[in-house]
Amino acid sequence: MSLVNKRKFKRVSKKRASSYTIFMREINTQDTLFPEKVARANKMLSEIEIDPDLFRKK
Amino acid sequence: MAHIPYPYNQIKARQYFFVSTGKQRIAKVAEFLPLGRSNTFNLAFGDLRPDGSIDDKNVSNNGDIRKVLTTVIEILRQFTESEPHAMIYIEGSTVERTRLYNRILTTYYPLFSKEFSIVGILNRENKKKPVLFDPKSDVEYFAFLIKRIN
Repeated sequence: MSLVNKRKFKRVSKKRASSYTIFMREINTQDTLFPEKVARANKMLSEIEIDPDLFRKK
Repeated sequence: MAHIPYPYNQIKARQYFFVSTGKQRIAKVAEFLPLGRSNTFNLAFGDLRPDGSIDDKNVSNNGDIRKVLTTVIEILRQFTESEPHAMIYIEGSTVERTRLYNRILTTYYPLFSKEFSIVGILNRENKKKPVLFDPKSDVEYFAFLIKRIN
């Protein structure tokens, strides 16, 4: 079986296609790929107060 | 952006996949992680290992870092088009990575600032302070918050 890259219409080897299939199967079974990042980012954001006007200043 | 991005696929609502084809082929994933604060997402990005786990600290030296980051910015662009009120939090997995993001944002600021507003987070004596990102300043930002303005 070969995998076709639809954007480039380029055929890739069977071995590579098989690797991609494994990748896709693995990542499709996980809810998030970076579970440890959420707690860190939440902690960081809890330490700061964000003024919404800050995004409007140029 | 000066580089043409790699083609990418959206795997799930907030997950994207592409392959870096520099010196070697490296599968990459990017994900927008919803955070506790409303409409706020952490943009996480890393290499996909053959066992399906993620490595976000690896320095692959694949010779295509600008093209890879152009792709991530393109993904950011697509995501914020569908979530226009989203605020995106970006922090490098290492100090070096955060510095690299700083350099990229500085380099492409004239282009990037037409679509996005950037807030840099300073970390001074363990006190974090958000300030408007200044591309001319040489201060070291700890992390970034990005929001679509156009």
